[in-house]
Amino acid sequence: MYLGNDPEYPTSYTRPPITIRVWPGDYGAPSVDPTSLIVLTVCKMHKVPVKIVPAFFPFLVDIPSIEERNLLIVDKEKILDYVFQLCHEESLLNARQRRKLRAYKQYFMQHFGGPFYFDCWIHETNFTHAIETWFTRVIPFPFNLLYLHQKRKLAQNEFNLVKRTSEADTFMSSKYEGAAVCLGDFDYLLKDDRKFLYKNIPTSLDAIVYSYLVIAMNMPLQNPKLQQFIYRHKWLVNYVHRITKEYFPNTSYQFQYVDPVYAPYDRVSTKCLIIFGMCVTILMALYAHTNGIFKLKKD
Amino acid sequence: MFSGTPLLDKIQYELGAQEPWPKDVKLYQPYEVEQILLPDNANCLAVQAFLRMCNLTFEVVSKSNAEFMSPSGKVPFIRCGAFVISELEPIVQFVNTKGISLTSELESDQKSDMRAYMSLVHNVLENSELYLCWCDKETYNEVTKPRNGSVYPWPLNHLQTWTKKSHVIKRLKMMGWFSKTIDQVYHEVENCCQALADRLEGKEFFFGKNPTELDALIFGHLFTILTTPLPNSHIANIVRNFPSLINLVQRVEKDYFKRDTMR
Repeated sequence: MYLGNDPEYPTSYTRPPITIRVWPGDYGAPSVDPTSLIVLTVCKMHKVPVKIVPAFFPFLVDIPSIEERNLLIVDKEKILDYVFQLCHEESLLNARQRRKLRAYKQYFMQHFGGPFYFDCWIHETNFTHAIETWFTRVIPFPFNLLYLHQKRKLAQNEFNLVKRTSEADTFMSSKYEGAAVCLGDFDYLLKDDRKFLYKNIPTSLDAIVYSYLVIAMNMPLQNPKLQQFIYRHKWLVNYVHRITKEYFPNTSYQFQYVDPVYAPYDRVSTKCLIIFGMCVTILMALYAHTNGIFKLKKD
Repeated sequence: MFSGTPLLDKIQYELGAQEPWPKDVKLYQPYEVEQILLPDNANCLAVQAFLRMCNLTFEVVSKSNAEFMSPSGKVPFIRCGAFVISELEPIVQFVNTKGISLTSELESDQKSDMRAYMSLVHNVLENSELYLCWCDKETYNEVTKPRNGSVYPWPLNHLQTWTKKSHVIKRLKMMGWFSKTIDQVYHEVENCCQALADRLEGKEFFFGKNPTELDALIFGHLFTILTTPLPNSHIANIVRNFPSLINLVQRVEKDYFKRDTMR
């Protein structure tokens, strides 16, 4: 899909087309990965001509990644730096306003982005239901196991690093409190039901806040603490719905690769499935052998 | 791994915290002269400044193992009756539960601003200080290594410093700071100082005539950067380019730290 085909987009835009590989969308979020969605949102908001490739295999080229001519960017920080340069309407802000915007971006990432990441990748039932199931179904076997193992280990290391000697429950409890306050502050920024968070122009802050919130609101999480905090703020919820409607009108609210949270959940473990598969194969081979479908040669 | 809010702790915390501020509150930190490092000193000073701004009494206790005594593994921490609380934000929350607040008169948008700038300071100044202490070879060899190991006997001094270095490097990698060059770090500090100077706009304190926890936090970091002798004084020179921030530091020092010595 080329956003450049959009009739609203000025044809005089001379930048060469960019190819972005992103995780696809599901359960009402245009992409299930916050970084992928930030990239998509910036491109949509600023009408940047990009070729979007929904990708499922992160081992040949990372997901998300950006390709422009011979340049391939895979590092998340660099991807964000690159796309934020495309926010040309942000250049309407003066240096002082941009610095304030940066403080708010740091604030949101520290108090909501971090806890949300841990809530998805560390919380046992959230991980098993929403994350593990989704990636297991999307990435081909056995790469899904490898990917999940790597990502979970990374999340656990990062979690242990930031919580240090605190108890996991106490640490997350304080993080949830911080997230609740942070969401309240961003809700207040939208108090007059304004369209965008800062100076009423689409900025990188909108891309970040929208991306995290739309995923957090729709992801089928068994522990919905953060979701409950978001739904308490009507301006924030309206803001997310408004952005989705304007920039991602074709977003499907179907659950494609993961079950909704109210669905009966009884997933068999991967180990059991492998053992079961091996047993079935052996039984079939024995059956075939006893019926003479194939015979073992005796020397 | 985690299941939800530890309700019992919370109730105990809320109930116990409603008692008045005791007179025997102790603030634990590493030894200031021979042991403490730049980022820890900044945090200790920020908490001290905050408690002084609230006019709360406390006694500073220096312990070589303060870091290991702290419930979160970070210094400083305070012992207030049956409670042990570490780091600035939880201490601010604890003090608030006693009905003492520096921000009660602020508007909601000012409170949002305050929290946003506190995040900026935590992310930029704290990570820059960690980078400088642990990733800049000259500072590490001449300051960090001898100071951090000074309270431990050989070979524990090397082992402890090595463990801490590895922990800090992992943290900086996670935050995306380890891959930065020293010039990029200086650039980040300059941008952060500029953002703070913009917000201060020549006022006495960030939100008018009275200080808040943001003033305390910034005082802690900037005072430490300005007064800690390092082999490379570039970071202090960056801060010196912002006279409004220097004035703020001098004002907080004069109003809340020097009056003790004058008594």
